[in-house]
Amino acid sequence: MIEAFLGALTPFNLTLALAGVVVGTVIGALPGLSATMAVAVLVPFTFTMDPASGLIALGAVYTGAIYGGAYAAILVNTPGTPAAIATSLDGFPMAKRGDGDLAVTISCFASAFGGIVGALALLFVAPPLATIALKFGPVEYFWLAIFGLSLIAVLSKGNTLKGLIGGFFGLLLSTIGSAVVGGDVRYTFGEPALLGGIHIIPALIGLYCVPVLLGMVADRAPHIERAKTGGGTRIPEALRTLWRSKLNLIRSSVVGTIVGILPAAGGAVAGLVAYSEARRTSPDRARFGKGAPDGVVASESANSATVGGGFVPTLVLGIPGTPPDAIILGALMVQGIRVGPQLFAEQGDLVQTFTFGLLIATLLMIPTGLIIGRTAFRTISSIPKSTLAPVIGVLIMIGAYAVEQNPNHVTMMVVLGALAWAAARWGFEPSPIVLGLILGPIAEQGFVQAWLIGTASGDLWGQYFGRPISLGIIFFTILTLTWPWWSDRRARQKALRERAET
Amino acid sequence: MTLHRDLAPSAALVLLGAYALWETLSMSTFGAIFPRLAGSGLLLGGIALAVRTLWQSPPATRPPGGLRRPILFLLLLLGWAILLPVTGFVPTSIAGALLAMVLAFDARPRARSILIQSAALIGVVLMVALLFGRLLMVPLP
Amino acid sequence: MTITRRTALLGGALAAALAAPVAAQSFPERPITYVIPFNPGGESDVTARFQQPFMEAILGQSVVIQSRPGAGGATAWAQLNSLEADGHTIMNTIVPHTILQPAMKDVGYQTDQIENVYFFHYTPDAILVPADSPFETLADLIAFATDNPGALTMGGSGTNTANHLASVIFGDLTGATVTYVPFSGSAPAMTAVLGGQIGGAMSYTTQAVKAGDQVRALAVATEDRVPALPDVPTFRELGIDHVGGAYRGVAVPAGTPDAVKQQLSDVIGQVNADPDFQRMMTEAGYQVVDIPLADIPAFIEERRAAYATAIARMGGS
Repeated sequence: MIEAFLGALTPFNLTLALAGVVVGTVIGALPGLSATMAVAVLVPFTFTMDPASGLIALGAVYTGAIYGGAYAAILVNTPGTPAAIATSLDGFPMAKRGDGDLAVTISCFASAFGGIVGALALLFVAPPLATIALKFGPVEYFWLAIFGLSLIAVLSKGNTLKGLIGGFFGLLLSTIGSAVVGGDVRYTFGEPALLGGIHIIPALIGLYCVPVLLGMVADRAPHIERAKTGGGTRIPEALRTLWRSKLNLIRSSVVGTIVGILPAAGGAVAGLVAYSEARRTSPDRARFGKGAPDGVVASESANSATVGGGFVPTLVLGIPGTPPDAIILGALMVQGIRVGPQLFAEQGDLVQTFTFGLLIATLLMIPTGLIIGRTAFRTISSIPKSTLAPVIGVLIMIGAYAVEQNPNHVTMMVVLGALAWAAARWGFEPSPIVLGLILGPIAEQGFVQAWLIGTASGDLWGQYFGRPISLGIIFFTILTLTWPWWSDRRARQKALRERAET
Repeated sequence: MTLHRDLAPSAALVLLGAYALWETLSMSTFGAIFPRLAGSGLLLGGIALAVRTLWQSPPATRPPGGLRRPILFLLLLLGWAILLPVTGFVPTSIAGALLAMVLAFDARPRARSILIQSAALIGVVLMVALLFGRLLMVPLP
Repeated sequence: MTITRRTALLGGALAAALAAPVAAQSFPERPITYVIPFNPGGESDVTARFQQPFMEAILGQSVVIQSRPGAGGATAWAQLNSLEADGHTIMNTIVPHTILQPAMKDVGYQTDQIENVYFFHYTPDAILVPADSPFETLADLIAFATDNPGALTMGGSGTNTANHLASVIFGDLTGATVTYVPFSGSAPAMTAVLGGQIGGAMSYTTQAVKAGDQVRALAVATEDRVPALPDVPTFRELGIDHVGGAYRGVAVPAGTPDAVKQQLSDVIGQVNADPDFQRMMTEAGYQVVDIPLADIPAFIEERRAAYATAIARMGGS
């Protein structure tokens, strides 16, 4: 193990880790460029390196990109990657009131913590953890998606009806195109361009970023408030916040690691589940969605933990845990390395060197993240809107196009943006739509697969309600939905008792 | 009595839900489950929204900000998106960025600041094109 | 890359250059773009990257791999004929996908509009079950699926896809009735097999190689046994006449000069003949085949006939 550690510490590997983190962070920060994209475009560069170095570079890019998504989420209200959706819920309100620098610093430390937890899990308990991936069948994915969707009811407090409508609309959007299960061609109006469905990246940009841009030109208020305190990094304050929410930090990192292990979930689901749990257990739930640092902590630690978690099934079973892992797995095969269960046995050194590389990259993310974050915050809060708006315009165009080099995605992005902007004028938020869009396919596939399996085994009811993990997820869903009501009632009773005593 | 402003989205939702449900008639059993769920949700949601609006007649939602500039900006984005594959990334984006700048000015700007910002924007477009086209090897239109 | 291989390749390139007809000497004059209609890391991408260095050595130009994923490949194939038709843009294609997709729905292209120049390998169909499955042989599985129609679940990637087609063909040939469970890709389907969520999977030999001894392959759809899975019988050995899988080829936009098409076909043939390339491919479970330009029309017809009954049963035209 020490040998592997030293192997990761060669100057070349350290340089690669640093460069990878920087490049990844910048790519992730641009709206529309996801971690998958970052890894995909950089894969060819690693073919000339030896496998361990190539892996370290890709792991560093991946880690950086997941973290970089937080900047756009916090400063522009556009999740730079799907993984950062939950980050924008509280990050942008923080930036709006002048705490953008604090939010960026908190997200940096939370990401690093989550990343380290994920990497340590990969280093020490990967083989037993990998079995979690196998315990999750279609029906578990179905209930997990339902759990994520239950967040809609919680998120849109005050206007649950409009939130639910948004969720159904997102669900409808997610069914567009050629269906994975059933093979139906749905709602394409005969357009081959719609066969592939609504791609999540252009949808994210359209639904979140376009309304922000339009709002920017609509009034004279600055896009986000400048820093109150001269624009430092506010490290001590950030660390105090993290210390106060240490339970949240640990829980979210563990949630992120476990969700990362599940091949059909990913960073977005991890962030949302952790956010939902953080909100449920927080004493001041009411602040969530209005700029609670705890929301940023939960989302960022969880999505960064998925990096290490995702590598668990990738390296132990040969099943990619997340989409970027699939690309990295392919890269290993091109390098001539046999992936799959034999990888851990035959190439244990390689795996350990890589894991240490991932740890080092995560640590390097702290200084680079702080520096890049401070620059991004200062730039965005100080340049005039007449420059900011066009620059964001250029970035969303290229972002929507580059995902699949498809000009149709750009048009789709603008159309969805117009829709989201109009909907916002009547009080409909984009988040429920996005939740429906992301979780809809997971729920649908899980539901239909479970139906087929249940029918084949002759125990349909048991398939949905007779499996322990499913029951656990159902329990948490009910808890999430009813908890606010319970705790309100308890608080009322307590207040009544106190009044009676005095 | 004039119609309440919040009835417009209700009507749109009912129509959309009805259309979504109508389309499911030609789908397979399994393929129709989720579209039906979404369609019914939209239809019922639209009705519920209308009932609530008429029942309680809450003050109409009035978003802040003007309408003229956002709509112009939206049209600009749409034109930008449609022309992208026709006229190429660099020319379209330079034109789009400069027009966007004009739309986003708050007060009447000084000539000097227009020049500086235009130069900066052209630089950004070229840099993005270079980054994607050359470094990351994404073929640009 | 070893020095001997590089010199061997250079020698081959030199010979090719000398032998090339005068008319085609202007090709290639700049880097070749090799479009993959799937995500990086997928089998199409991996095999194209295996080809890449060999093609570069022969052509004397760099080959740039570009991915344009979407709609199971259909997005890229629908765009193929609008790309520049001078041989500098080539695209990966797959049979049965390009036969199956247009037959099932309007995907924006027709099978015959795709001008393939070479099919260079296939990933043979394989039936995989979890290592602890009660089915030791294919006969066990068929017997169970015949006695209990529909009780056995078999996963695969998507509905109306190559895996789905293969499972319909399997049912037709053996009389076994299985419940096909579509997943969003081969990886989720494999996870479900490893976790015992489904009884087995209609998958590929490459997946069997990757999963190692976590799964048991019951049969593979090749003529001779697959070198990477020496203990697994072929369907034919078991009396089931099924040879096939996902045939990957290279196509060019319509209007590409015939001389250039022929030249590209020759180049890919040369790559296929390289022992180093063959070794890389077979170790990972791919089966190298040679279907050059001249044989393409007959090959497509043969495949179309092989799939016709199953496609009709799946509701296609």
